[in-house]
Amino acid sequence: MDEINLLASSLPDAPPPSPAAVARARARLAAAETARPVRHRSRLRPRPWVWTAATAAATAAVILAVTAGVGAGGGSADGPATAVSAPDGRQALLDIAARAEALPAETPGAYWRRRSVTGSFTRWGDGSARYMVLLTTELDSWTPRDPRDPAFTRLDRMEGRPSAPEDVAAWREQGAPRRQGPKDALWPGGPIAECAGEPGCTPKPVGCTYSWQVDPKGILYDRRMAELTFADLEALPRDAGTLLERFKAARRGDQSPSQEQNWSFSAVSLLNLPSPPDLRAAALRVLAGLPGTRVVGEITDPLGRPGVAVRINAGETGETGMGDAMVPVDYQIILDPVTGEMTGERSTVVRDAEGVAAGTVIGYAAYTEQGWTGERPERPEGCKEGSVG
Amino acid sequence: MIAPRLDPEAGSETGGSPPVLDFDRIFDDHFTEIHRYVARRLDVHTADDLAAETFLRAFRDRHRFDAARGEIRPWLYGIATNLLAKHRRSEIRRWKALARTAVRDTAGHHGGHADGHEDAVTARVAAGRVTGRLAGALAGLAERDRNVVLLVALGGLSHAEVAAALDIPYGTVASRLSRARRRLREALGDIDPLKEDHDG
Repeated sequence: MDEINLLASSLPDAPPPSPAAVARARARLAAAETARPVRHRSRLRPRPWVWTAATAAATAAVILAVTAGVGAGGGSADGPATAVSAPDGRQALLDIAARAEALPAETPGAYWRRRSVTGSFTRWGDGSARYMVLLTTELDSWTPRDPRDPAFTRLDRMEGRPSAPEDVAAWREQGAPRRQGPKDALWPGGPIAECAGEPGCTPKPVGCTYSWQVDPKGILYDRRMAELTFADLEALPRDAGTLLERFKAARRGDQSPSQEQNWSFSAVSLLNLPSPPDLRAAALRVLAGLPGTRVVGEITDPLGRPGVAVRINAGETGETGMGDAMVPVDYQIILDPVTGEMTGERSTVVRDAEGVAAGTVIGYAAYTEQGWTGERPERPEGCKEGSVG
Repeated sequence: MIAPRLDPEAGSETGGSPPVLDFDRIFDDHFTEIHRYVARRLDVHTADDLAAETFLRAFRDRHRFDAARGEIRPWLYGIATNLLAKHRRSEIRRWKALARTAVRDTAGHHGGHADGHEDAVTARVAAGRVTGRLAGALAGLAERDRNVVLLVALGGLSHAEVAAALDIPYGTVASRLSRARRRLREALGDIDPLKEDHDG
């Protein structure tokens, strides 16, 4: 053994990326693949969780033609009326925490399943005739209660389409192109669906990847706080102050410019995991107490459901490429106002830049369905095995 | 070593142009390992974005990829390493923190494990000391030396691949690597677990 081998074996290993992180990375790459070459930029500042695209439409206009699982979640459009009437900064989070805490814990099944849609926007066209194109990826993740069972994730990449009605109009004016760059093996006809712009058009899947793995340690998919198992979630403190101490302990020895950012992501991590309602409540209270947290307000999510958008680490913005533009972006999570469950996440442009208005959503994930199930996953046919997470 | 993933069909369509890189395949083959490399030098959360950015850069700069000069894999590691440069201070803080905590953490497991008999505890503490010293040495290395030694240790790149990844001469790789190894060995000092192997 020499110094090199010793380094490789002694330095702490890192957990694999979560399926959601892989989906985001894929969505960003897919959006970049459809774009024309960007004029050279000397400096890109990658930041935690940013997206590669933008839309000119407000979120409400981003009504997806995604059929899978819409309305299957707890907070569907015809569900209970939103309980947050006037989100007053962090008080709204405390209110949601109080409601979550009163909920009974769900009885675990064999698997915790989440289906989601990841959307990434890119800008096509020239000058005043620019329009937004939306590319989506559908993710189906099964997390076993018993670590001896396999974890399964399937990722379907879908055709794209011009986003809002005004984008469809601009796209038609320019001859309704199905591609912008060179012909790509990935999309035989083009990244844009053949039926785009027509009523009831459902973009077709263009590629499928899945992973099927047994992790004897049972480490759950979101490792932003730590490597946690279902047993760890059960054991975490339900008191916000004690929980924050755990966050600090988990990140001891870590380096980030601001430790508070790590604690924010630890809280988000617990909201993103299948945490029982009282643990969600504690995580929400920690988040409410951190200086970077901003309640953006009530929104309608891409599936038409009500949600409360919360900006995480507001002091920290990233900059990312979006078709032919560079835009400064933030990171927000979306909460079910009634249950406090995380129902998605998104990135928005934080100030007007290169013709993209502040507040524009540039990428999102919306969880179409999540919860415990007695069903079990099956290995899919006609889908290649690969790195999904 | 994995050869560059080329899509011959797409290449033939463009006549004499260079073959088109199949980025879907490249992503499948390499995303996880690039993510791991970045996460081991920084943290998972930064790696989520930085690994994604690596593939965006690769795609954007695909016309600069020269299959004659090397393979896809070192090229990706090179891009990731360049992106890591912006996080240099964070990385140094990480290694310094690890130098402080490694011993304490491994010692702290004492008693928490059923197999915590004396030999096992001693072994863990020794391992913690090694990790701590190595991390401390990494923090003290010049960035150019650290990049070379970590591309070899964490990425498993050969000298030639490191040269291609960082666009530096082969001889420079060798000299940086030997300088880095010397520093690591010095840092291990009296707990050098390599001593017994030196004759071989």
